[in-house]
Amino acid sequence: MRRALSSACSVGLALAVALFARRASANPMDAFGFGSRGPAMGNAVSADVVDVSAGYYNPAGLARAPGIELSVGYFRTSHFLSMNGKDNEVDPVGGLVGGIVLPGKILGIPVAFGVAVHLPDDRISRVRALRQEQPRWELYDNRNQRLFLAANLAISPWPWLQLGGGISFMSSTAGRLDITGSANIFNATQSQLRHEVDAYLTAVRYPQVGARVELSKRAALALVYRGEFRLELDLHARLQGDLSQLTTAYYALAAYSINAFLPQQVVFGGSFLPHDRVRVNADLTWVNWGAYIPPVATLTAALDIPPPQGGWPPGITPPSQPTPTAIVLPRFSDRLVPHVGVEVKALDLPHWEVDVRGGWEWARTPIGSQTGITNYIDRDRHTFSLGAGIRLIAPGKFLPGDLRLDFHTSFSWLPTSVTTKADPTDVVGDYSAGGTLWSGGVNLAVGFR
Amino acid sequence: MSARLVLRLAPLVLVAACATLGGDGKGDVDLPNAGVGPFRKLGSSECLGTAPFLLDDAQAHYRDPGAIALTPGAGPAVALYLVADRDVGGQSRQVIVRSRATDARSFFGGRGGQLPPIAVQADAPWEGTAVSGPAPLAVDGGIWLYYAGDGGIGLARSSDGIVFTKVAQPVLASDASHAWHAPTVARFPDGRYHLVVAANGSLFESVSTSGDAFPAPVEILAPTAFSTDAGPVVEGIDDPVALVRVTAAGRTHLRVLYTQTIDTKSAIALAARYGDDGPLVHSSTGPVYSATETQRSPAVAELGDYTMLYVSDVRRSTSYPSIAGAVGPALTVLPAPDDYPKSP
Repeated sequence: MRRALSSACSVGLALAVALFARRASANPMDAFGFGSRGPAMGNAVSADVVDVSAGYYNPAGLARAPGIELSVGYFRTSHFLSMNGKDNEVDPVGGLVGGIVLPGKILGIPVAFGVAVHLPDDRISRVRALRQEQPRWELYDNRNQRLFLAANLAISPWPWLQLGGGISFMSSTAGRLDITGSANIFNATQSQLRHEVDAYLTAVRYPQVGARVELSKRAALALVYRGEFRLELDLHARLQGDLSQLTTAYYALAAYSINAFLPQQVVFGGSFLPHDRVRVNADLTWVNWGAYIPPVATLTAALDIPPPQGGWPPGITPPSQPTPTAIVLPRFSDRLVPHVGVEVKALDLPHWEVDVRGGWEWARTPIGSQTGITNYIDRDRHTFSLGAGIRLIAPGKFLPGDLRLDFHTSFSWLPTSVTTKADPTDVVGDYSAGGTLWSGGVNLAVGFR
Repeated sequence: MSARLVLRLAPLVLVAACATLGGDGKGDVDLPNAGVGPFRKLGSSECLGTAPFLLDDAQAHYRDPGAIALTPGAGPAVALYLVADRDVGGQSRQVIVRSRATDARSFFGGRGGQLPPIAVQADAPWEGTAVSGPAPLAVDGGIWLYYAGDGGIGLARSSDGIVFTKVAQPVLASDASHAWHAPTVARFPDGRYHLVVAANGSLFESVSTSGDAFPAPVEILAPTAFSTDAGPVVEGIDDPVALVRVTAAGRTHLRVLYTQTIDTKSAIALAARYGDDGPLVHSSTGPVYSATETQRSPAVAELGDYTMLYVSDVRRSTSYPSIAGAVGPALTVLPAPDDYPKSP
C-alpha cells in the first residue's frame, strides 16, 4: 500500500516536473543505467538510443525520435554486500523512471526536447557524513540514493549527424545551529538551553552533451560528455552559554563536506548491424574517479571557556580545544569501463516485434587498497544482463504509433577479497568484502507517430 | 460516474502518497571491527544502576576486573572476577570475588544484599596477604584464573568458575629486578599460552605450552614520551589485558589494552601486533576509551558483534573505586538491561 501511494506521488511529481522544469538533475544511473533497454544491453547504447533514456545515455539520440513518446517504468536494485561474511544491509535503490520526448522540426531541421527522470521510492536525496574510519560501500551506500532529472535539447543538422545537450541540477545544503542558555555542570537536568536551526538549499548544475555520427545504415559512432557534480553540505553550530554562573562558554563548530560527488565522464560508443536482425553495441566510458572527493566532513572547532574567578571547583575539569580531524585523502584512480550489448530481433511480424537482449560490463574499482585508517570499500564489478522488448505496431485506432514493453534483469558480481591493515592497532582490522547486486526493471512506452 | 470518482480521489491519493517517508538509511550493519573500540560509556538506559557504573559498593571497593564471556557466540553472559575488600576472619583482606551477568551489564552484587563469593584469597606463603589482577581464561570447559601475589603470578583452576583449586607454586615467580603483576593470558591458535605481565612500567610476554609454568618474560612494550604543556612526559603502562584472534586475512592478531597514565590522568590505550611474537605497536590514534580521564584496569569481553569494556573508576560523588562499563564499537545499540541474576 505504501509503495503504491509513494508511486502515485511520484507520478504526480513527474508530471509536475515535466510541465514546469526548465532544467533538470543528477543520478544513480551511472551505476545501474536508465530504463530497461539500456541496462539489458550492458548500458552500451550511446550510439543506439532514440527513446526517453537518451536523456541519460546520449542526448543527441533524441533528434532521431520518430514521434512523441511517453514512457514510464519501474526499476530496482537490491544489494547483497557483505563484510566478513555478514550482510551490511545496504539500502536498495528503486523508483519510477520515465519521461517524455517531443520531436519536431524548425526550418526543416529535426529538433527534439526530452525530459528523463528517476524518482526514488524512499527519498529524494540522502545526506550522510561518516567518519573516515567507518567502513562503507562507498559507491553503493549513499551515492545512488538520489533523484535523477535531466532535460535536453537535440538537433540533427544533417541526416548523418545528431547533436544534443542539457543541464542537470541538484541542491546543496547549508545551515546553522545556535544553542544558547545556561548549563548546570553539577546537575545536567537543571540546564536550560534553547536552540535555533536555519537551513537552506542552493542549486548545483552540471552539463551533459553528446554527438552521434551515422557512418552508414549499419554503423554509427557516438561521443558523450557528462559533467562533474558536487553536492555540498555546509553546517555551522554555535554554542554560547553560562556555566553554573561561574563563567561563560563559547563553542563554534563548522562542518563542510562534499556529500555526493559525480565524476565527469566521457563515453565513446559504437553500434553495428552485422545482420538485419542482430545489433551489436559497444561503449567505453572514461570515468574521472581520480578527482573524487569523499564525503568526510572537515571540522573546524573553536572552544573558549575562561576559568572562573578562584579556579574550577574540585572534580570539574574543563574540556580542552578539540583536535581537528586530519582528513586522509583516498587514492581513487580514473577508470575505463567497457560495455557490450547485443540485440536480436526474435520475432518480426506486421504488428508485432520481439527483441531479445543481453549485455556485459566490467567496472574495475577505482578505489585503492585501504591499508590505512580509511575504509572506502569497493570491489571490481562484473555485470551480466538479459532483457526483452515487445513492440505492438499501431495497436489501435487511438494509438497509430506503437506500444513498447521492455523489461530486464541483471546480476552483478563483486568478487570477495581481503583488505589487510598495515597498523595492528587499527580498530577496524583486516576484513573480507564482496557480494552481489540484483537489478530488474520494466518500462512501458507509448509512441505517437 | 466512476471516472468522476477517480478524479475526485486522485488528489487524495497524491497527497497521501507524499506523506509517506523513507525509512532510516542502513548500510552500516555488521561492520568489521577489531574488537578494541573505540568505546563509549554506557548510557542510563543501558544499566540498572547509575550509568556507567555496574558494581558500586562502599565496603567492597570493587576494582581491577577480569572478564570472561560465559557463552561465546550464544549470548552476552559474562563473568567478572574482581578485587574486593572483604572481612575475612575479622580482618579486612584484599580478595578476588566472582560475579556474573546474563546481559554483560547487570552483575550479581549490583543489588543490595547480594554478596559475590570469594574465588581466590591469599593463603600461600608466596602470595603474601593480598591477591590482585584476576585474569580468567576458558580452558577445556573450565576456567583458569591467573592472579598476582606478592611473589609473582599464580594460577587457580575451576570447573564451574566459582570454586577454585590453586596451583601450589607461582607459575611465574618475581625476581630481584621484576615484581611481576597484573597478569593476562591469551591462548593462541597453536594452543600455546601467552602470558603478558607488567613490571617496571613496561609490559613483558612469556610463552608456555602448558599454561602452568612460564619462562622468563621478554619486554614487548616500553613506555613512550608524550609532549604536554609542561614538557615531555613518559607514559605509565600498567594493567594489561591481552586478546588474540585470527583476522580475515589469516593473521594472528594480539591486541593489548592497558592503563595509560600521563601526569595524573589515566585512560585505556591500545597496543597490538600481528604474528606470534615480537614487540607491540602503540596506537597512534590515542586512547580507545577516556571518559573522564580517571579510568584504569581494563577488562574485556568479546561478545560477537560488540565488545564490553570494564574499568575501575571513581564516581564523582564518592571516593572509592567502582566498576564502570563501556561498549564498542561506539555505534552499538544495546537492548534494555536484564534484571540482576539470582546467583553469581
